[in-house]
Amino acid sequence: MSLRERLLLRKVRQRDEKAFQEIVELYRDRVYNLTFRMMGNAEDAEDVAQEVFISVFKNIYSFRGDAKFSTWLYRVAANHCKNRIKYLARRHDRQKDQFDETIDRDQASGALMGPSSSPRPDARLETLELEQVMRAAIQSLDENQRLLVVLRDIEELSYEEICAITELPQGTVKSRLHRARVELRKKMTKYVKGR
Amino acid sequence: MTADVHQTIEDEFSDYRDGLLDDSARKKVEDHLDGCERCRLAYDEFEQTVSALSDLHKMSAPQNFSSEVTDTIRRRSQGRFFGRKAFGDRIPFEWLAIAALILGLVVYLVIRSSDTGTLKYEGAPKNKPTKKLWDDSWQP
Repeated sequence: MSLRERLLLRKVRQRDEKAFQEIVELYRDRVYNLTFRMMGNAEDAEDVAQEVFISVFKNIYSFRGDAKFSTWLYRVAANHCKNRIKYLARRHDRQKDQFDETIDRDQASGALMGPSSSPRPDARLETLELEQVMRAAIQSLDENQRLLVVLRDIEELSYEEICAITELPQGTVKSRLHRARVELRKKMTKYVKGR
Repeated sequence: MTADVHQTIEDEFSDYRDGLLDDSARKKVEDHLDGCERCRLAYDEFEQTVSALSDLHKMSAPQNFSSEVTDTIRRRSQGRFFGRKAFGDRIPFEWLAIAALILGLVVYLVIRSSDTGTLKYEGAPKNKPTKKLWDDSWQP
């Protein structure tokens, strides 16, 4: 942890608003990216990201400083995401086959770039389509697998950091991540083959 | 080649991609992929999927995100959160020490200026005639 970060955190402990805003500015995009990939939509992602920082502010005393601040922050964010996902699942009784429905709908409307689709010159459109398909595929994973995929393959954190965030042994992280990647590969096969 | 062999190789895909295999295990996977089209295709799909994940656009928080967070904190705490200090921080030890010093000085001065005060300064002792314990004129 840098000296500047230590100073900022000390000020946050003294309820210094400016220092807290600096911390939010430093980490807002990383936290938002995580919550967006976990929640799958901007509205929930913003809500959860806000709650993460409010929680950080309220519980800053429980951060002892023996780990990296970002590790602690990611842990807080991961827990908030899981809690929100469980809450939403209870409330909305989410459909398990959301991904398949999305794919079927997109294929029916000809939006996907499959092998039989006519190639489109617009690369940006293709990227947007890939983004949509990937988002749906990630959403179809259970929240524990999703978290590992987001931390490792999207946030590109090391296995050591992921173990510290999730408080899981490395073997468990590796095996769960592998299962998640294999599952994603199966869901993405139709799309990947067409690329 | 049995199905188990293919499955064993597929189980190593993640570690192989992340560079976590030792030399002999890595060579075993590479040799198998070179000779098995089915596994080679499966690995290519696997690799493309994981690469697509890391190519995903990094999302940025909305522009007014920071101010919304602080506004929410202020609203929920009715303005008590910011500036509120922990118990240790709330006691102004420096000011308490200065106040104690001033109080001590005042007490000292009051006692000193009091008529009955033990700290009252009465000046240097004057030479008083010493009272003799017996009369020299007395003769037995």
